Amino acid sequence: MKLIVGRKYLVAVLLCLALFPLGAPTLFSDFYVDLLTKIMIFGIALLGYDIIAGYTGLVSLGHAMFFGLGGYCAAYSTKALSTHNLFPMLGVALLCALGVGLLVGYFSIQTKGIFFVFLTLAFAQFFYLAAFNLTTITGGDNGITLPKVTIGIPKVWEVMVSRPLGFYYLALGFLVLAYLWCHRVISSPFGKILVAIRENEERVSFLGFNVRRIKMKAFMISAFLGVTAGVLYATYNDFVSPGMLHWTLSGDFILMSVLGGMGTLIGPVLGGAIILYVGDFLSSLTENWMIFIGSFFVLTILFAPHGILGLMLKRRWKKNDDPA
Amino acid sequence: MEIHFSTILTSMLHGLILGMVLVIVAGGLTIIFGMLDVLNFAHGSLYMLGGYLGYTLAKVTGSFWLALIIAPMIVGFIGFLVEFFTLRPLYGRPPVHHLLLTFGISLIILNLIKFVWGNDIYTVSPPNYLAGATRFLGISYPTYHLFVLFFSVAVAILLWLFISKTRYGVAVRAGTEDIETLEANGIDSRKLFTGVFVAGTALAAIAGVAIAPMRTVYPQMGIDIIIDAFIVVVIGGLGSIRGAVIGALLLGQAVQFGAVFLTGFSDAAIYIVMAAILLLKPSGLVAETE
Repeated sequence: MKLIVGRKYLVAVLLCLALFPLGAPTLFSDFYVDLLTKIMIFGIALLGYDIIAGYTGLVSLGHAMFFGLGGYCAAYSTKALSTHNLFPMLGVALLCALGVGLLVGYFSIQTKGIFFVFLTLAFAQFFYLAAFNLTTITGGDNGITLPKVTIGIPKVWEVMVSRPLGFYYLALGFLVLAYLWCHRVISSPFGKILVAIRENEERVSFLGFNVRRIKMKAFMISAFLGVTAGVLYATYNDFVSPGMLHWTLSGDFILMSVLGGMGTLIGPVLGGAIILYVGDFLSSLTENWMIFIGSFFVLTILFAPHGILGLMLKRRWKKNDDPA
Repeated sequence: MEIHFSTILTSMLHGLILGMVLVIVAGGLTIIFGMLDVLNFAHGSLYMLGGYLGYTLAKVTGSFWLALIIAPMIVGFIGFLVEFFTLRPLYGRPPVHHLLLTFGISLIILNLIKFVWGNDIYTVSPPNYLAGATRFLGISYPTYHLFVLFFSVAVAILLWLFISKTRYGVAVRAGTEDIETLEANGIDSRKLFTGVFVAGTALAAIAGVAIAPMRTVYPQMGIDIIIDAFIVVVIGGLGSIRGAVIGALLLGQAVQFGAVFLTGFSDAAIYIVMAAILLLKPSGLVAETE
């Protein structure tokens, strides 16, 4: 698959993102730097989600499981390892993602379609209920407060991540790395097989590929990016609560992906940006802003099944072959 | 922990009532899925809308029974609008698309309800002669709860009679099996689809009104029921009415006994049941896809 959005556009966007904070606070308030940081953190999770849902065609209603897992792992590693450093937190979170992802993936991957949707939901709700009910360990609904994080070599050289600028560039760095990784994955032969599985699983298995194993790998990629985003989100907010594990957040991931355009990598990130930005804007006007997001979403499914990105690039797609 | 016979009996009754209400909600969901291949995420919101409309209608008209009749009609009409304008263009696409579309619709309805009724909790009082408690077998049980039990059993039996004995029921059952053959026999499947969707949503509203005096009307009621109802449909075998009935009754007991034996972790019971069934029988309890 060719790059859906040209490289020069991506470089331009990256440049804008890199220069953006310089405009604050003279041109616009720090608020937008904060919002963009959140958008980029969500973007990391959405990139991972696109690998499993968009490319492999396994729509999961449990992605918040990994997002929240990352958050709780960050909270625990600060306590257990008595460190404020981001990297050990990430290490612990990735290890947990490996365990949980293999376990949940092993069972969920045996099903597909709507059964996959609900099995992932069931597993995710386990974690939500555990976080909510095991109050002695997780603090229940009150959540856990995290200290301000540092980066660098633990115990040797550590710097506090400044807010909002330090964290902004940290999130940007992770987003770029995540994008490069995902892009590498989907342009590799492995990525082509993922799309082939989405289109016709049976044929892929007839060709001699181990479909379950390939799906498992895709699931693990989404798990790893999910916890990474979760660690960043929790450390950015200095707080983790069961809300980060709730299925409505998984629903939001789907909403963002579909709105932006699944199976395009850029689309879901764009969708996330739109929903977070528009949501923030509308919520200052009315409490029931989800009416508008919902209507917008319904219109997208009806008239633009490939999402906003699909709509924007329609003309270009017609010239070439259909990419999604 | 000391468990008395009365505790067990009360739990079983609670579970049975919850199960029967789920039969009504998930029954509509199942018929819709069996026929239209649409897993209707908005079902919970329509159930909730039924409850809120029931509350307002009961207050305005002063009659609970009138509310129980009118609210499902209004919700049925909204179901008609949803099917006619948004679902029709989507038939033929993969079922996940319908799930996503109705997810969007459920967000709209949910927030419209919040817009109209706010975030308050409303109590609906049952008719006077159904208030109070009835004593039997050494326990004292709310009379209205027993009414909900009998009412939902009656609705389920009527539904079953309709599906198994009437001409329309035959068409619905045939449609679940094979749409093309049905059309070849001169039945307009589009009208049938609309009818089934409207009936399913009206059923959800009936359940919403009926349960209102028992559980009050509150902003989370739609989300609370939809996951349970989905689990019932999924473990029942997606589209199998028999499976949905078994699944609903099973889930009702799982929830109640989860509350007794897994204190503090009771909500997990339904997910344990679902995960176990899906892992043992990946296509549900009663698979009717062949």
